[in-house]
Amino acid sequence: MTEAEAASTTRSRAPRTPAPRTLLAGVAAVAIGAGLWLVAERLLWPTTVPAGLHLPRLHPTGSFGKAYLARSASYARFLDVDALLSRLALLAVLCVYAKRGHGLMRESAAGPIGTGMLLGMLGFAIVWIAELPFGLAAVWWERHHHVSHQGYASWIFQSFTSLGGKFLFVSLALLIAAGGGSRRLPRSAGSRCWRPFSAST
Amino acid sequence: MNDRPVHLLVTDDLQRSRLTVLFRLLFALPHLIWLALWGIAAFVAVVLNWFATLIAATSPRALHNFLAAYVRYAIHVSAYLSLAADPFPDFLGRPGYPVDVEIAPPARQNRWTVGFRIVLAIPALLLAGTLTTAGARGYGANYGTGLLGVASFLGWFAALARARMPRGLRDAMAYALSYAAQLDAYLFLLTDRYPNGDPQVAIGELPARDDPIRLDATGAPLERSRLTVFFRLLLALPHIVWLTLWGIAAFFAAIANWFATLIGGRSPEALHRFLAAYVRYQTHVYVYLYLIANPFPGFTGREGSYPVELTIAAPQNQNRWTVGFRIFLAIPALFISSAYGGVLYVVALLGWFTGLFVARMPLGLRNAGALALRYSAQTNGYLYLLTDAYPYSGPVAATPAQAPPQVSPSPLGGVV
Repeated sequence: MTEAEAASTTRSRAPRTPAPRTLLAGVAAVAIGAGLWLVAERLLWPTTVPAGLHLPRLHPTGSFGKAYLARSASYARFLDVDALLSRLALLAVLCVYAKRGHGLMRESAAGPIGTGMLLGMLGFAIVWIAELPFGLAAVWWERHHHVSHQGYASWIFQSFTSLGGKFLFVSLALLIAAGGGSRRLPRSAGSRCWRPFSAST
Repeated sequence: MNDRPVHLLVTDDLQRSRLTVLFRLLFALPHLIWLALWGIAAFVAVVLNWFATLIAATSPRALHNFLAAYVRYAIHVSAYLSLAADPFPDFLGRPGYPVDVEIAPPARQNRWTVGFRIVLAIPALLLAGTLTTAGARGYGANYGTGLLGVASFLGWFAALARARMPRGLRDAMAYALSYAAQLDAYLFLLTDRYPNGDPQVAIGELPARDDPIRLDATGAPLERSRLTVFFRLLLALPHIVWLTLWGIAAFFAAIANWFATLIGGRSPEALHRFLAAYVRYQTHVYVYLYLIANPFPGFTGREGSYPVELTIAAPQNQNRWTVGFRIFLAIPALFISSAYGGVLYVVALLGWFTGLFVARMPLGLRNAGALALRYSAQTNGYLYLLTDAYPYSGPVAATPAQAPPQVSPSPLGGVV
């Protein structure tokens, strides 16, 4: 092998770096975007209330009564607590998934992208399971206050089917995000590929 | 203790008399009437047997023998009616018929399973419904639109034309009858052994075939992940979308392949490779969807990439007549494939519950599903002109897949 051939082979194996012209165009696009943002912000900031605007005075206690407002506050408080607990459970589950999710890689016979899709979908699935009791609690509370008449089974079915849509979305997103860069991934990245995928969920 | 208390013995020589085949339904009428009358007595005997076995934990010998003879006779009549056997059976269910059932003597049974026998039998009834037809089973005769019904319908034409029953069809019928016999014996409390749907052990010795399209599931583990089992249908959605898109391309490729094979007498290498990858990928997706295997498959249908492997031989010379009329010739195979499709749905349903509870797929169910998928893949391969070997409808001896031939790398580089 001649020196020129060796150099050519080395060049072809080395990770590609963006050409200076592409880099320059990217920086320019970001700069133009940032400039437009600043102009819009500058124009929107000095907003003033029109002269002669008389807002009606609303006294909630006068319109609805104290008992009604207390019940409304209690209703909203339950949903707030439910949502807070749901988020906490979600965070806990995501922490566990981030820590132990790589174990699920053995459930895949696909390549890195396919495995990423599986992990992305499983992330959504775990989130769905974690939020299920809180969602059901919210449905129960809404039914209890006659805000909703949706049945539990119907809610679960609806939520489950919408999960299918999320699975498709995350698969497509991961295919686009990872597919373009897959050829640039070093071989050693294969074992760590689950991390960005699980983070993306 | 007998390892298989109820098992089918097949000594049929595949020869058929055209005359009796032509009028088989009419010839079977006396048997059907006698079977219905015997069935009334058997129903009373089953109720008595239930009480007796619940108390003594063993079926009384007299009742056991009476019901065993009834089950044997019902299988003889079903085999005769469905053309799985040729001789006119005797009316007493005596042993020695070419498709016979051997039932072990009474043994001790678990009282709990005796008490709840009818409830416990529901999953087996579902599977039997697709292999035979549940509706007709009340009178003992197992026939209808399940696998047995479709195979006997097609077998009628084949036997009439050739005075011989194709072995694949006969074995498919025997497989269905074997399961029906096991279920009857379980329902009638002749044994507490749950019916085994494994085609590998249903009818004794199986032929070792070297078909151009083979499915090997022997190396696939039976362990299942509960999480992926629960969400299996949703997890398969990206594959279903991709399979649909690929299917559109495969449809046009199949048309091109038809013209090319009709002219050249052999499928062009590139088209063969493209369609083989599609059929393999389709099989991988169905294997995953129907819980026959656990890992999430890749998106390219690459050979050797999945634990349940479909091996497709290289292009061979094909008979131009069979190429020209391929779509018509494939119609019987499509009927059988549809019947196996019913089996596959029930396998998936039962496998889903089992996988969720015990994180494992029963071997019998796995093998039943693999048989159905192998037939489906062979049918598709035949339709897409990957081979001119007609799909083999019976179970075959499990042989591990040979080393895959050298294939060109996937255009996606195996990353998906």
